[in-house]
Amino acid sequence: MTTRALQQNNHRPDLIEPRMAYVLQRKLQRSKLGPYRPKTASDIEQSLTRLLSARSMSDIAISGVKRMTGGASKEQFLFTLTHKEQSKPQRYVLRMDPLEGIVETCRLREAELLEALAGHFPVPPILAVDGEGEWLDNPGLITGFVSGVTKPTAMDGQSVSGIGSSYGHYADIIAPQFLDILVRLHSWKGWQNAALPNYVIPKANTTEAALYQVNLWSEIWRLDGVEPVPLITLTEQWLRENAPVCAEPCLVHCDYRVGNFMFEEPSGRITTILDWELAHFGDFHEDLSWILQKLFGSWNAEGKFLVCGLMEREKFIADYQRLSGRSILPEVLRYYEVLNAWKCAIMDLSSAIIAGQRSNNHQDLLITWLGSAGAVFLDQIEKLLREDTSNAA
Amino acid sequence: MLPDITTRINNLSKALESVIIPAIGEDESFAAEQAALMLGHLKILNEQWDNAYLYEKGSFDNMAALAHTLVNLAKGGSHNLTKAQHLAHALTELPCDLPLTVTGVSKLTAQLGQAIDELVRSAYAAGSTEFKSAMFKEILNYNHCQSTRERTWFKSNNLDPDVRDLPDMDEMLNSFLYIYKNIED
Repeated sequence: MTTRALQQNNHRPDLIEPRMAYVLQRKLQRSKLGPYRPKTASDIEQSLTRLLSARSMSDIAISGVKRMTGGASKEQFLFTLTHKEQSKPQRYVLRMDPLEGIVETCRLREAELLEALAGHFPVPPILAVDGEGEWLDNPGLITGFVSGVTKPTAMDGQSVSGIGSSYGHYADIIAPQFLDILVRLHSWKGWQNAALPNYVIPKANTTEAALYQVNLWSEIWRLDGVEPVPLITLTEQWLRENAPVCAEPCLVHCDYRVGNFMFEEPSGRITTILDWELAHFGDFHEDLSWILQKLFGSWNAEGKFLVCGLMEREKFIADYQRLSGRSILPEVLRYYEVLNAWKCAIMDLSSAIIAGQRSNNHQDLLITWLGSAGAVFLDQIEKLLREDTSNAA
Repeated sequence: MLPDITTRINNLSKALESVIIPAIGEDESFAAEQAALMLGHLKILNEQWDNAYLYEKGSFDNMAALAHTLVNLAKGGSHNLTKAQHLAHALTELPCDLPLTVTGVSKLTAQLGQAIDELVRSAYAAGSTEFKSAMFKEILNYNHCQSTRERTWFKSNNLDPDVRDLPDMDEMLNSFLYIYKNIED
């Protein structure tokens, strides 16, 4: 079967996950409620008490509410909780949506997925979810606090969102775990028996896996676009025309990278995979090409570029194939490299900028900073498309 | 002489660095992070403000050159006529004298971009293979010039893995290397 789609199949506006279509429209409405004011500890205590009471907890005592730094898309707070059935204080993390951010996702979907993955993968346990912001004022998710760090505490030169981080001597310890979890995720079949009502599984042996993503992100560009960018529009057309067939859709994390896992020091053991908000069912190449992006890598002392600051590209690709038994198709990998760079360009050049313009994020300064990297992705798209000129038209 | 913009940005940075940031308590990490981002933005603003008009004018020139190219490429083809005519009309509607503000020029750039977008979509819906292929190549050529300019404009953000390949600000603004040259009639 060909890996390229027939042109007549590429315009399928129906291929957008209903929950995501709803979430984008909801954001449009919520964006009018701004400007957004970052929540105070007192705001959070009250909101948490409302939500946990609604979850039938009593004698609720919340303390130590502390905002977590970083995080360009969600407002995050650490807090300690006791209640009638849990007298020993335990720490939790609240992840809450601002009015709008660099990326719009769904806490309900995230909670469903974390429930399904619990026991199979290192994911944080869920305490409660407020999918519509009925009690928290904004949609939010509470998970158990998991110990660990996202970057070595002794290393400096780290930047926002973990991007550009280096792992130093931890790289050799973390890299095999990083790959093992990824390989297991892509071969995980547990979703077949899990309750994931807000996800759609693309049909096998079709181009649906790619088209669901093209439709989602072109809709985001349509809704959030600030000013036209010819390459964004051209790339959308190219992505439709060249959508590859996916033989067997699997769960893809879609933000599996530096900064999105925690590990213990000094053992280097990965304790948790974070930020499942972009996860969906699709083509495993989509995860691989995301991980391979230059923005998430760094250079080692010998001047070699390391994927996610962990290992060289050739080794990453070879080890993934060996461990997974899958063949990476260069043409499909390149397709998803284009798609991912296009997605990042859309986040930066539309959602980040418009949220900053409307002052609708808790991190307006950070998202406009990240938005300034939009042209980095345009440059990547251009280079990738030049490699594919013969198939372009 | 009135206080100039550079002086005021420098004063803002100094106040942040020497007074405000030291006053932020150790447990106020959010405030410290915001202050650090403010300093970073101020540094970039200082690099940009005096060049902002020249930068926006260059972005407009590149978009206008792309529009001219696409109109010329569409000539003689039976497809895309309506959208190509629309783009040609957008070019003729441009004022003889450009606005003297960044916002005014940027608005014109966006108008041309909208018309280009429509032509691109129309070409992929019903355009000839030859036109699509030529358009594809020219948008990549345009992007090469323009995205290099944009990356250089924000090269101080430390988010570009290939920052070593970029020119400095003056070279980007003044060299013909980053001006997209349109295909003439």
